[in-house]
Amino acid sequence: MTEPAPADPGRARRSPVRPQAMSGRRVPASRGSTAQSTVRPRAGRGPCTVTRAAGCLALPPFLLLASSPALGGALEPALARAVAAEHVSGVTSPSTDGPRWPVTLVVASDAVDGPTRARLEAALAALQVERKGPALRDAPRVWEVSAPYAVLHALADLELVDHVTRVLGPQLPPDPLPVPALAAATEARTGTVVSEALEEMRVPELHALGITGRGIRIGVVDVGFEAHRERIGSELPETVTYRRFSDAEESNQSHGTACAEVIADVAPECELYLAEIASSVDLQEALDWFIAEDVEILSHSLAWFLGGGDGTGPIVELTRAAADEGIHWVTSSGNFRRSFWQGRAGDDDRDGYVELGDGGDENIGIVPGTTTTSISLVLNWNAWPLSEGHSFQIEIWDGDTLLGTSATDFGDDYPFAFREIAVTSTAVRDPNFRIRAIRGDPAGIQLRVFRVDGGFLAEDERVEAGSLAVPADSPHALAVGAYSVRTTGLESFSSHGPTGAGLAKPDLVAADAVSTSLPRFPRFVGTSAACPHVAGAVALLLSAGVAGGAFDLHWSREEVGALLRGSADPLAGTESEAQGWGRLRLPVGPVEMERSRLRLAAAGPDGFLFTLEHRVGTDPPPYLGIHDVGGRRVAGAPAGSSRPASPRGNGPIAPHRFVEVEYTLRTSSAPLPNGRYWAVDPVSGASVPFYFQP
Amino acid sequence: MSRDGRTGAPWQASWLAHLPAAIFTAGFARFRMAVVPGRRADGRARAVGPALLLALALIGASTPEVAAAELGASAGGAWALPAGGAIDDAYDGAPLVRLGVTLGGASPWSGAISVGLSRTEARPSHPVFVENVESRLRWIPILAEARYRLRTATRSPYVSCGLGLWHLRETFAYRLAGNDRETDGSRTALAASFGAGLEIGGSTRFPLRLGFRAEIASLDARTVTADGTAFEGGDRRTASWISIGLEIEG
Repeated sequence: MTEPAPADPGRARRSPVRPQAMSGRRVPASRGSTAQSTVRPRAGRGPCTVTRAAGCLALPPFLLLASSPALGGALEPALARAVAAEHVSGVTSPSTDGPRWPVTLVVASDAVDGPTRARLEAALAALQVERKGPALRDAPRVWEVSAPYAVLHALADLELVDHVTRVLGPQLPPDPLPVPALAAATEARTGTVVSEALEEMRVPELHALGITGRGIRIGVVDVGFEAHRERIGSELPETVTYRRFSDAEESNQSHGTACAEVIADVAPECELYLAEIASSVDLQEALDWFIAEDVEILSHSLAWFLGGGDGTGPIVELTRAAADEGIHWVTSSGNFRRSFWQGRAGDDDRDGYVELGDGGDENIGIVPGTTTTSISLVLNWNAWPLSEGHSFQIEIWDGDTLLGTSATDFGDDYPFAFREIAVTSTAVRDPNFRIRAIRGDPAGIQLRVFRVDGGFLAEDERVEAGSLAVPADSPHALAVGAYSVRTTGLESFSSHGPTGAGLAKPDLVAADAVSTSLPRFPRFVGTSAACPHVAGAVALLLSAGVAGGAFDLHWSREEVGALLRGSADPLAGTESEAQGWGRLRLPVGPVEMERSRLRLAAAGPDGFLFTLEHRVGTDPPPYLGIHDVGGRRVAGAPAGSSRPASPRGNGPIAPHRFVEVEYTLRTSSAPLPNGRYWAVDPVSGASVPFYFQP
Repeated sequence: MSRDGRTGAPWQASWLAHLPAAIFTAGFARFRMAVVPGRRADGRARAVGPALLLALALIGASTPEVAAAELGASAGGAWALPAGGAIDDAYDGAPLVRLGVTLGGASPWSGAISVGLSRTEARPSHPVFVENVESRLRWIPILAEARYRLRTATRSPYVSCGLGLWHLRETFAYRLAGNDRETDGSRTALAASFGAGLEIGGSTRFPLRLGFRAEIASLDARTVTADGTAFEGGDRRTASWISIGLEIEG
């Protein structure tokens, strides 16, 4: 089965914080504007009256005609403009019968429970605002609601509502292929199309043994599953259940269908549960659905920016909840290796702009396009779930000319540690971004910037380490990078670890550039394609349990990880921060675990000597991370000499497969406070505790 | 005690007569509630056990024949063999010992509650990436059984049927990814039993029974993992055991 080729071969992307109207029309967001929004202090707003008339909420005229963000108060400027545009367009009448939009509320602290909460809920009911789902697991003040667009100003004016913002949503990882190459690859496919990676994954060998994923339930979350129905029983398994959690109409994206096809290639007899989502609350509801349906694996080929990259944030919380339920969460690591920057914030010269580069530079270069340049940047920092103490804005400049600022859409009071800016311009010569510190002391805040339009940041200024999308930084998820099945080399865009907490990620890499039957994805490229290969592989492992007694025996998350790790094949000449254990291969015989081993070899007044037994074939990490009791990385111990390791293990592990590397932490170069610390191998996660008492 | 005309203390017999119902209903409730940590628990099942227990206790107390029954004890040994179903024939046969309390009288009907214990093991088939898989299975059948003697002679064939609970505990030991691992799980299942045999010395102090008993239980598919997680999944299936042996009563 095929679907019509889209008119635009470029991938239609979804803004991570853009709501959709119930009618399915997208709420416009400004692009390329340099206008600054101002938010009127709440104290200055007049009372808002709401009356009912003839079963329809009648709103005072001033409220309906509020086209200026200045009247919005706690309403996010982009939402205020969208309300005005909806009204001015005259498409719909400004009443509660009009389109409903999903929006996020941040309610006051004392509205979380008790009688105050009941008062707030009554006020929401009066505005015909429906609370969609539970609050985020780690943020009881954050609610997602569905509201008539015409009442958004009134909603923001409620005493117990601090902020009204667009919903917090996911994003497809940016398309790693340049558009011309993608267009050339587009061709109609007919018949059964199978991933080219199966052979080197050893999938046929397991299929021949009858291991086909039978009965294993796999959940796939994505922003769209177009054309999946006609593929059931052919490109997809016989048992497919689809459920849409977003309020919008069914998406015309087929990204999720492509992921499901890859899973079906690997595990043809699995049962698929497809969950279409558009926000973080949708994801939470989808997870609840998966738990109720006894789904064992979750395939997640989406990128979120709701987190600090250090294993914190609402999405990582969901991965933890899934792990508690025994669900194997497999996620794409992201396609941001060449489009990422991170660093500690500081504004030593107190000019309002954060110093970003060496020598106090306050801008980072962006690689321009040849003719028209579209630049989309996301800024986030490690203050989740709410960042009410700090506020930053990201700005795009061309030389010394301001092209756009995130303040236009988000306002300075936006409550989350997240900003986004997009501009499109011609004849850009020296594009760069700068970060403005708006509120709070920026010192010590870890800032992260992703370019999400598929373009790059300047080669000498971008940062590869830590370029993981959320939740690839989660210790509870299996993060998957990508290598090309055609070149067998690591994809240049595949995000690098380690995480901000020093955790070695991605865990492994799997193939991309594989074929699907979808015209939009004749060659499915990116970590989005790699992730479902691993999800299918996990299904094969789980379906190959032991049965025959009172119980079936399945493999735990740790055991599945051990099997994948033990059978993974490291890519030669590739940094371990980019490939983890290596490329995915399924075990077709007993697997001997080959662990890295980290030991404290010596301690003295001058410092500490660690030895790491590291598997040959991958590069040993240049530094060991030194972490304090809070898990924060506070120093690094550089690598020194190396030599072949001594024979080890009680299994058939050849000693020459390990090398022993020395790392030294000098007291003089790392003046740490007395206390307990851990040295951590960022690649294998091996760690050893020690006391720092110089 | 035997059927020689002595009677047990009425209060004692009456109290003990409730025991099968108590064990049955408690076990049934446990059977329904035996759901995995982190997974769903059926709230209605929590109410079923106590309600059934109360109903059966009331019935038992109002039955004069039961209250006047004589008490006895029984002990037996048998060879037990998993006979297909969920517990497949990879498992070896193993000795089964059984101890019980009996209630009987002049009537050809008698009843018994017994608890058995058997332990079997197997080397189940396993995927290629796992080594040395061993399963050790402990089977503890608790049975409330009614027996009917076909004749009143000293030697008499009998048939029996009953309801019971199985407590199953299974331990897996295996080697995966270079590490020796072990995990286990336990569960309770509702079972039915059917038996037949020959009773010798029915009028003596120590009647002896030689016979067989087939027990069958319905098991929903339950899965364990090495990290202690267990969950329900898959199709419901049956398990059966056949035991052949001797039982003496006194």
